[in-house]
Amino acid sequence: MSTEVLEQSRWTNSGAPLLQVAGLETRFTTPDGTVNAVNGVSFTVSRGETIGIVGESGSGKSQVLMSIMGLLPQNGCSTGSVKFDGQEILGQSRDKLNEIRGTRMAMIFQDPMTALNPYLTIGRQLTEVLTFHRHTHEALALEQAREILEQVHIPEPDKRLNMYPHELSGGMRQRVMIAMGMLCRPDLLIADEPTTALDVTIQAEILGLLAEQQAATGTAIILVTHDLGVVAQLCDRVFVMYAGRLVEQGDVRQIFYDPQHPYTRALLHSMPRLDDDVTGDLPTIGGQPPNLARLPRGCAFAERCDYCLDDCLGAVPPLRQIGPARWTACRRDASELTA
Amino acid sequence: MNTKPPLMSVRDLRVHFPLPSGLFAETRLVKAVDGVSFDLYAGETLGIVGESGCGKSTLGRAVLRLIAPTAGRVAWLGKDLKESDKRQMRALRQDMQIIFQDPLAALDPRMTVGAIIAEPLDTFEPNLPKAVREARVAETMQRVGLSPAQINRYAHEFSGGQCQRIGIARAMILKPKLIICDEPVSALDVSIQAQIVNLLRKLQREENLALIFISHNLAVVRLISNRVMVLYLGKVAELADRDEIYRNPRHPYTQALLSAVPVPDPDFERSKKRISLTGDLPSPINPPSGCVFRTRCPIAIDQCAEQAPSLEAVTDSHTVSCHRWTESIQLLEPTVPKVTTAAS
Repeated sequence: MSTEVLEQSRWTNSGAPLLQVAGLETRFTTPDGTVNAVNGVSFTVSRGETIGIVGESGSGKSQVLMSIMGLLPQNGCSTGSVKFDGQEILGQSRDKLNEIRGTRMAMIFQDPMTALNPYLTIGRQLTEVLTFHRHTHEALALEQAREILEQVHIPEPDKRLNMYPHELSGGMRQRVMIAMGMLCRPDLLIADEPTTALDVTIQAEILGLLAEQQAATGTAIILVTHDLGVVAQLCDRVFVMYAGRLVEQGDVRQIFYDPQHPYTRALLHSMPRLDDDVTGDLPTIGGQPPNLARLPRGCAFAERCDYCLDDCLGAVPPLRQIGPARWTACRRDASELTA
Repeated sequence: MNTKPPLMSVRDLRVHFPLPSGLFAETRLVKAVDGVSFDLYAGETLGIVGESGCGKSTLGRAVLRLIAPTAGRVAWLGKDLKESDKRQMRALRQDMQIIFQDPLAALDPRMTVGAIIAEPLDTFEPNLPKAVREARVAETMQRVGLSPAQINRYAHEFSGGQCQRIGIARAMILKPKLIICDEPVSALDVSIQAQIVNLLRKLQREENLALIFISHNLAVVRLISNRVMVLYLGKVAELADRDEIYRNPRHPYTQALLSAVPVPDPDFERSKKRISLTGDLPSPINPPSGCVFRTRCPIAIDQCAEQAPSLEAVTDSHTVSCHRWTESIQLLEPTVPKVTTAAS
């Protein structure tokens, strides 16, 4: 019965895209000055699709997620607009956010050990989601928790409900995190490097599980990862980030087979591939990403770019549309970039 | 492939850790490394892959005797390391160096970069004139791509990739014959990873260095290794030349590992067949009977529970430890990654 009520509540305001981010800027005040972690990011996410956000450490990909979820630390501040199902959620109060966080919008973190409460049993942590958000009766919540553990293929779910996080392996803990995220059948699941800490065989299982859960519930997923292979496997659309900006956006096949931005190209080329018999040296991207406290005036990638011209240094190149749902933030045309 | 004697020869190496136990309880053992053998030649890279807990780091430390092996033999240029006394072992350490996964944690935060890199020199060549010592440090810094102008900086002022270069400089300054690289690029971003792998390859060419490259990243291992060893629960599952192991994997575990690695190619990723393993790595305290892999193996049979497989030769340079290696490929039909030769 409870699922029926749930189904009805899911499709409100269905005209608007599920998530609409516009001009998002996130700053951190630190003793070393202001760190510009996110610098004018705009995108939309539709229901049921899977978005991959890729980029190196410090490119701002996790901070975009934290800003959306309203989970920035004390010294962080976001401006711009984040609309969830047509409703502005940026800068909303904690109580207001808690009405959608956990129920309509859930998050999975990289390290399940630190994201789970070591003092509480798995069962308690799972039922808490339901009793808090859905005011479900304790016994019913426990039954639903058992069911969801079964759905994420955790063997002996009854036994696991009484276990503590440290008694489970890394892969099992990440399954519990996914179970917790999916408990209320959210419209949007945000996953920040969900498999980075796991071994490849376990990673394959967890990614399979995410795809399976998505097929069953129609949840949209935003997946942040530095592993382009994971993106190739799972995502419909890809956003490439560099120095807090989106530098390229497109369909997954376009990004992998016809990358437009020099950074995307360099990133793809510098990745050692399992299916490559390279015996020579790997192409590299020279230098380091820029310091986010002292961003250059022009294109942030210019210093490491093989195709940099004078006009790249003057002002930040805007994200320009080059096809349906296809954007790049490079002034050069792809034809000018000969790899 | 080599007529010269091996640089290092490891035979039936075992490292067992006793677990704390009650007064009358039987002492339990964690068999971290359990009977590993290989030869390593000058100028060659041996890649060691496997999941966390398979014993790859313990193996790396045990061949250097940083952890005392429980049994087995490690010979350096034909001489058993166990027979070397402390003084001889110390002298041998000049030839064997190690670099670690977390580059910042491996560097003393209170020492300058110059002092960190020079420390091995202070230990092994204490009478070196100051000017020569400085010149050696500056030269080594240059070789690993650091500016000698940064000699008086501290580790925290450097990025992860640069810290790994400092670690490599410290390992290189004594001109060793072997470097054990324990997950040297795992903590680094893709673009920086490539820089460090290229650097290691350059140094290897210049010095005819032997490398033992421990990693869970099979793509990086493919790039840098001549031969690859797959470890599972402290035992060798498969050992072969690089191309052989990636194109013709015989052990079901190797096949599963290779099929699990996501390749940055959407069409291939969405059409390939994955060999899924059930469950997690069993506890090394209480490993399964017979073949240690049988609890997760999709093609295990009764024989696998009764009898541990021994290493059998597929070719001269390819050994595998599986009862069913002759038929594993037909049974599992692994999608071996197609080989696109460098062109793209």
